[in-house]
Amino acid sequence: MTDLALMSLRPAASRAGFRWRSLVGQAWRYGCLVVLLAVIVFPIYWLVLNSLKHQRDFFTGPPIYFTTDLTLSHWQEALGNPLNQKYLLNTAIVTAVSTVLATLAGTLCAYVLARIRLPFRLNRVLLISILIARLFPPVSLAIPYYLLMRQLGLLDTLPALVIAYTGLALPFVTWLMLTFFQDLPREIERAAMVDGCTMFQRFRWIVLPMSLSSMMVTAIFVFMGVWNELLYSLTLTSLSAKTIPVAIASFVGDNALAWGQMSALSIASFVPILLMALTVQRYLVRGITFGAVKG
Amino acid sequence: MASTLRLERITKRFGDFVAVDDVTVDIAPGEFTTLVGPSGCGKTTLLNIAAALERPSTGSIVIDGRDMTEFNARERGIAMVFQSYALYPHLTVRQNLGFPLRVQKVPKAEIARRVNEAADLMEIGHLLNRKPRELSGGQRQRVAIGRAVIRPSTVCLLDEPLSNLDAALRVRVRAELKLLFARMGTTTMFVTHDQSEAMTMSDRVVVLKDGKVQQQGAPLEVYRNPANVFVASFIGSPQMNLLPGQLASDDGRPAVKAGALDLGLSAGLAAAAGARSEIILGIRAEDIATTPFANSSKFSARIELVEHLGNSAIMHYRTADGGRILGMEMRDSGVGTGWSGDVHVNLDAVKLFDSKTTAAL
Amino acid sequence: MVADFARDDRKVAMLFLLPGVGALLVTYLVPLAYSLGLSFSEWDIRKPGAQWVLSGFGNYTDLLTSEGFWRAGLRSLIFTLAALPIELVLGTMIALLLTSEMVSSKLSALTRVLMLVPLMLPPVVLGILWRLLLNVNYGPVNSLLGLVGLGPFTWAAAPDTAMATIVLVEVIANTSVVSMILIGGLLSLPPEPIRAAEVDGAGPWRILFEIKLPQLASYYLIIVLIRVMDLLKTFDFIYALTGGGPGDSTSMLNLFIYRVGQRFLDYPMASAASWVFLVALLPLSIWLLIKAVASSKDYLND
Repeated sequence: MTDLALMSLRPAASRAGFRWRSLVGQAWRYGCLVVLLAVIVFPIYWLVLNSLKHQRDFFTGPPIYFTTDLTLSHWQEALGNPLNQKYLLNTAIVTAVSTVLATLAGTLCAYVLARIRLPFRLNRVLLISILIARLFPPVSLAIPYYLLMRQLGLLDTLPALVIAYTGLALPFVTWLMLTFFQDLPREIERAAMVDGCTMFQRFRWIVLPMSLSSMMVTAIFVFMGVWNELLYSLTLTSLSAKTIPVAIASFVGDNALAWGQMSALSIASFVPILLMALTVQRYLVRGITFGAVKG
Repeated sequence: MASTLRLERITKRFGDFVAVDDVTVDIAPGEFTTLVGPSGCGKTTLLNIAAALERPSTGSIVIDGRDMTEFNARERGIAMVFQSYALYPHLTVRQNLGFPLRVQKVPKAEIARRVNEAADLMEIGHLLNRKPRELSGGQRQRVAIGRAVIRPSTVCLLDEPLSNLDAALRVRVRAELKLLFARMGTTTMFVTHDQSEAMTMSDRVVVLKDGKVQQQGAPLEVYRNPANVFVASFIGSPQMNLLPGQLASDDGRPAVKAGALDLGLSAGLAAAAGARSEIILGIRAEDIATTPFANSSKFSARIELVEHLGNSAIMHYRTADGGRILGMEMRDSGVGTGWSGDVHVNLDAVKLFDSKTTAAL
Repeated sequence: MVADFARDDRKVAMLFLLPGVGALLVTYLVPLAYSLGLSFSEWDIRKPGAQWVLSGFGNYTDLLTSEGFWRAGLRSLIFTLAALPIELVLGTMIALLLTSEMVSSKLSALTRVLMLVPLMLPPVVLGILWRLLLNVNYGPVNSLLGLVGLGPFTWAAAPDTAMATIVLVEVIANTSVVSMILIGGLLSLPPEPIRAAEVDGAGPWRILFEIKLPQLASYYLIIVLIRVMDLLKTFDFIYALTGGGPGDSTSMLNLFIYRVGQRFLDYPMASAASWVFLVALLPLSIWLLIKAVASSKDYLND
């Protein structure tokens, strides 16, 4: 539309040149797009292919880029292994429990910070503490967590991970929910006040139903982060409470040549995350930027 | 029996900013009172204070003779319609209407009965199962009003409920709303920035500016006798002509000169003006015309522009010294742009204001 | 400002805050205090039953005079300063590409969805995957580059190429973050100034640099802050890809601290390193904080 409009404004002589230039521009853009798509798609293709290749096909001169001679044996070994099943179950339990805990506690905090004026400038103090906590490098907590959990006898247990992950996710939930509550029109809550609601009734009957979808989005972000987390799990577990990222990472040392199983387990741990990411695609930028960009 | 509402010496400060400054408003049982003023005049803050959404810095809220300053909206028996309507988006119209009753733990059957009553009253019976987002602006507004009138209330507060409607609908709803509240006889406090809403709907208007009451009284009384230059310019459309002038005497008779205008003053006004020399002269457009009044004075001017309103027209006069004055003609007066000649001023309707305090004399 | 009024609300508010604030105290304040104490202590873990005893600044002086620590810090800095500009430039180009009117909108919509894939890939899987792709002998990347006469490259297997390799993987994985944020920004730009500039005869480059990009300044600020914080904290994929090696060629502050603590069991030293790391991050954090708090003024009640 605009191209046409612009072309009609130009003198006839340069029209051909203009069209040629725009063709080159288009070709260059599509070229870039192809490279971009290749960089995105090929690694995933390779991962899938590796999970289906026969073991003998891994270590060939030029690697095999395409074959119809495939096998499900790596998948059977990876998912049939009771240890891996246990790690998957551990990951699911720890992730689910800490997601629920962090989302509930964080939402309550965020609502108060967004709506209630607390004494002693507590709003500001809490907000800043939460931001600092959010910016923390987890590695600086890993050592004290390890030593404290050891003293409490919680090392290599699921509760240890739940505690660490709830703490990890809480600042994120609080901040993100705060930005969601900011977008809720206050007049609706004022109407509820005039209609006679106490704060608890307002939250339960008006705010909660209105922000369920925001809570879901937030919870999915937390779920994805916790599901993938490596450092705390690496530090706090050794055998029975291991999670799937640690199991995958341990292929590197223990079973460096089991590329098929490594790939199969990687895909298995990635698929739930990808599905979730697609459901919250619209909010992704908001989650990544910590609510700073509404997206 | 409807209730009385008295806002007594209310002051509200936000930090150093005084939003409401020592305001007292008395509303009689069943009266429809309008708080009107430009944005930032403190009218909405005052309404929020009445609704217990905000707390006055000083002053008290008295309902039916009882001090309710320390009580919340429910205990005060307040109902309120919000500017954005503030319908609960996740509830159906039926649930929205029933919500205030549900909070007060009214039995289910009773809620159903009263929801139907309110729906009939507001003519929204066919919308009961819809969600707010499926309603038009006018329908939302009806639901919002329905939610306010469904419960027995002492006072109903309306926060610019017409401002989100389009112009045509607004004029229609204005009349309907007035009828509805007259029929119900509820004591009502209405907030608007639109002086025409204030004029048409109210039993009484309270004009606010910078957190202070400028004038309160019946709409026509305020229109006829504005207490100061601000009220004179704010109430009425087109705006009152306000001209700086000097007091003088024409052969011993008191007169006021303002540009091309040289008007003789009545004895009453002359006495009120006293020994001042500077003065502000106020004349409404309908008191300036090309035909003489019973008691009139004239000046010469040219018509620069005519704004046709249909039944009447606003005349923009330009005097020889460049002054601009607005007048009004009925339809078919036969004068138009370019006309020049004698323009008459209704001397009985001339107002004088102090040039320093801007108060009416 | 709701509920300045009801005093009952304050009690409920305290109740609402309790779980979250309690959890924050347990998961942050307690371990931090512990780690601070530890960083000023000596603890010979080889002696069974030995407890840690406060000993002063010894760990800090040891740390700040150790070459390993400074080199790890330098590597963190190099990694961040190398990856950030590449991600910014590439991310901007991709965002422009995917919002260009010259590219079919269906194709760019599809690409936008596909871009989620590297972004959402669990970091551990990312590391594993690139381990396979960049395998010196059997990996497809060296084989494909060989077809055009390049390489073979040593990638993560040799100390002198390992750092460049993790920067490459980081860029491939996380440039999507930059482009996704910028796509949102570009699409939200008001069209009128751009149309006006076109009518005034401005060329596409002038429009890009003088109309579009300046309006995205706030987006770039957010991107830079978020990316720098995340780059400095990167741990998972490096752990899976190189484990900090070969040697310690990709061992940044995070991995350094992890190694000192978990492999050499020198908890006091690891704690001291954590605190130095925290303090080093402080200026950046404070900057981000000021930005964030300034933008949150509306939803704070004080």
